[in-house]
Amino acid sequence: MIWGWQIAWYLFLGGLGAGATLASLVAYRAGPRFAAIEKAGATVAGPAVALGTALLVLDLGIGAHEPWRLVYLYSNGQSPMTWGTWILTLFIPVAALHALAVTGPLATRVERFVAPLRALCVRARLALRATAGLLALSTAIYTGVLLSAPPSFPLLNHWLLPVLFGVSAVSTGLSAAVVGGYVWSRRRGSELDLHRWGHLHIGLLLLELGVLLAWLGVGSATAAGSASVQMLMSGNLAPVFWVGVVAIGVIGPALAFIVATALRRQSVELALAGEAGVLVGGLALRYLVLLAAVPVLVGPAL
Amino acid sequence: MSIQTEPTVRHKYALVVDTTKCIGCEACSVACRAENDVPDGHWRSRIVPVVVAGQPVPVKWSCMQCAQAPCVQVCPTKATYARPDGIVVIDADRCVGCKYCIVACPYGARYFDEEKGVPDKCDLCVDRIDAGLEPACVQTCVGRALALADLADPNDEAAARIRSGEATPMHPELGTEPSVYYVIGR
Repeated sequence: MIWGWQIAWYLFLGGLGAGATLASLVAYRAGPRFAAIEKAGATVAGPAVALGTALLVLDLGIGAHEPWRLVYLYSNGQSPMTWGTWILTLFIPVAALHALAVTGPLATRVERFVAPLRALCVRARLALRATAGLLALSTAIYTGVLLSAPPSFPLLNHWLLPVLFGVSAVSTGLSAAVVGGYVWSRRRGSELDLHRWGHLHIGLLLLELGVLLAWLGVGSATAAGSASVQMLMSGNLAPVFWVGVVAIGVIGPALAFIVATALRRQSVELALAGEAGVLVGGLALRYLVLLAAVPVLVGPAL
Repeated sequence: MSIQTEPTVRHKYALVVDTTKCIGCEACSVACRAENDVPDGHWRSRIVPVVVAGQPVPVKWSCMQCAQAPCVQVCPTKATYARPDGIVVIDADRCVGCKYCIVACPYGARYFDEEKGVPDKCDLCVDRIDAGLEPACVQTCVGRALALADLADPNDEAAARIRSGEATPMHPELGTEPSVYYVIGR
């Protein structure tokens, strides 16, 4: 696979930003007690996706040097990358406006400049929430569609990959929003009920594990797909897969959230460690998906 | 990039590779490198061993000029496109170098030119074809194992081998409808 670490980080940050927006919307629905998570999720989303997009652009062979060529990226309505370009172009500013709408004023010096725009955003916040939510869902799923569209890598060429990336995006975005919300609350000296989020997150992690196993199961159907699965389960990528994705990214956080919830008040560190694990696992997953891609015709002929 | 210039003359190009005549001498690979200035470590065309009836047979491997080309479908900028004569070409002035085409090609026929920042692959030497010449590999092949076929020409001998089913595409199950056809001996 010619795509390297920049693309792995891009897939991770794009998913994280999209998931953070969705977490922000869930926190909004859950009530004012979780306002810190709503604000943190909305604030993290735009910069995360923008950073990922910057890595993507820097990875371009020529678009990074001749940026005016980037306008051509909007040309091909058949290409998942053109869809993604449209989605990112819309999502990054909408996420920023969503953040303006739901967060409080900044330091007076800065706020002076954004105050009129913020007033508009606050008035349009219902529309911003709906738009940001739709674009976040599109972003979360599209990164998987990008990889699953071509027939060249059988492990990737399945609709379960966008599902897996979507679930992982929500999971990592939730972690980023919860960690951000915790920091936000601490600064203001208020308490944040992390445990309720633990329940939601345990469900997400189990779903992710199920989709991951199903995806690897259907991936084994072809010779190249089965070689990919073998690399992950018992080959040279197995340590990263079992330790990074399964233990640190899914099982560890699920256990941490269960214990943290049972222990109640003394367990903030454990809950935060769980969130950190989810983030590490999400990044490891994106790396492994690229590294384990075995081409359909090996060598190149059979 | 040159486009079909004579609207009255329609062509549909394909390449016929007769593996029963190929001796694996790599003259085609060398001619290709010289003609197309292919950087070291990369190839537009090369010889790979394909196992036929338990025996490795040398086979010329290059872009299959697919009618349903994944590279054309995924290229976000439309820098990669199929000409009316079926040849899949890259407009390097439009490409941003995202490498999605390289990821998408199931035949592994594309490489990334680090120096130019764009991908490259076999285009059947379009400039030569447009000048009325054969591709460099076809012209140089010592065993006459390669032939440029024009499926739009009812009298074309190489095209007849495709129509009769004597020459068949490699891995048609991938669904890309390749335009490189192989005659495989028993």
